[in-house]
Amino acid sequence: MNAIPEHSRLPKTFLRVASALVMLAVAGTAAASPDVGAPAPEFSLPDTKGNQHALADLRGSYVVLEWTNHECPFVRKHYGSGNMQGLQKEYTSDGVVWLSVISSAPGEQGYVSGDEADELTRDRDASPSAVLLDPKGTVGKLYDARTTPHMYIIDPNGTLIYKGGIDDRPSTRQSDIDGATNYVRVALAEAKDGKPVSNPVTRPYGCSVKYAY
Amino acid sequence: MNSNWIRSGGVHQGGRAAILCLLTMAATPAFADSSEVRTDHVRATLISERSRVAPNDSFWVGLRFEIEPGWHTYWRNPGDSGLAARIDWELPEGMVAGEIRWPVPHRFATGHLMNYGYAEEVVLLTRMATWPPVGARDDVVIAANARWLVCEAICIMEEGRFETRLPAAVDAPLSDEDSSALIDEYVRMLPEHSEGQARFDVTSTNIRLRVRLPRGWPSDATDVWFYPEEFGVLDHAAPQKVAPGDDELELTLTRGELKGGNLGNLRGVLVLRYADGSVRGLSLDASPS
Repeated sequence: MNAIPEHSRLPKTFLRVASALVMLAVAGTAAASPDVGAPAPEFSLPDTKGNQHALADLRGSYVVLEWTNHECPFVRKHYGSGNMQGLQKEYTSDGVVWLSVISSAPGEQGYVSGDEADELTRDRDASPSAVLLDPKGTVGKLYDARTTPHMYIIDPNGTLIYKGGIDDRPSTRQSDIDGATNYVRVALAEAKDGKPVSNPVTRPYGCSVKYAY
Repeated sequence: MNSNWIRSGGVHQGGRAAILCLLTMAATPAFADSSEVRTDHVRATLISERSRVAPNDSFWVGLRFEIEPGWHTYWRNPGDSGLAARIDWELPEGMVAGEIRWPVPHRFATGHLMNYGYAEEVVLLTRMATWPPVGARDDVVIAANARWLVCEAICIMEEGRFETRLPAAVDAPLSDEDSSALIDEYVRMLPEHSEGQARFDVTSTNIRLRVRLPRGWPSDATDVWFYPEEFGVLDHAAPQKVAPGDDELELTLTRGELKGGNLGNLRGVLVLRYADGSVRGLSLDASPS
């Protein structure tokens, strides 16, 4: 902007567009994590049967995004113990839309077909609203999902209100779940009470998301 | 398991020493074996600077990881994913362990994600302090239950229980030569502490960190990286712009996910790697200017 003199006769709209383009170029150089308190990035992804789920269609409900990879030891901690399924059952029966997202690329750990994903859901007695398939990692990168699990909560207005870990005990041991503070539970309870989320950004812990590079 | 990647006898020993080592192992009582744990990707060994312990002493013990090529374990802040190793000690009355002291870490980039940790070999150091009855008469057993995550593209959680039995010193404590040499090598890789030599200021997107280097530290390092101790303060993967001065460095860093509120002090380790292969680490507790 400094290069443009103040008395420039360029129309203001042009300047605004130009500066927006510059900002886009800057933002494009790094995987920027979406800000809490801002609109959650819009996306549309197919579920295991090929039905599209668009975030824009989910206004009016809380939405939980759970990045997952069933072979990751950190994910196994929360499924092996029943912790993740318990949260899914509790919140989906309360009207929350719970979307498990798989961003593993083909050939990478955790990549599954739609049928395999359904089988996993059955075998583990999981209750997400849907399992979304993101083999290109587009939505994973849009949300800067880095770990499995990595959790996000979007409020009924489409605002991102939480991103981070599932709880405050980074480990792979099931015995660490008892007594841990579950950040997703706390954030949903606070939001539903009309309170601000006390810990809106926490450290996500887990395996790296297995993107294609 | 293919264990060809494990250096037999350790890095500091040649063939002759390896043979000696085999002879020693044959003559050593069975309990000594429990100081080593072999997993699929790591050989882990509990080593002690002392071979005999005395009261009112302090010394290093180390958990040595020899890591399969291509795999890595993690620093205290693992970066964008991963997990730091954890050691739970079981110590006799009269012995207490400090926190893990972490040698200077390395960077491991995968796509746009960044991890901080160690490849090939690392020794995680812990300082032990003793008082009576340790060293009075009986042997003492130092036991550790350790868990570590080791990753290549995928991650495996591994664990082991380690025990090492140390006889009481007759008078003065005795050092174990091989273990001491290896421990010394890693003690030299611990960051030095700096006091009042670092300041930073913050914009909405960046942190500008200015560090006065200790006397005798050249500022012409070929690789400079500031490893933050805590999550969220910095973007772990973002390039760090370095401007060297005569005896100081100025780094322009990219802020992490914790953007709101007061950052408090900026803690972490500044690592300088030089063209001749030498490495220096400076532990920083920078205050806002």
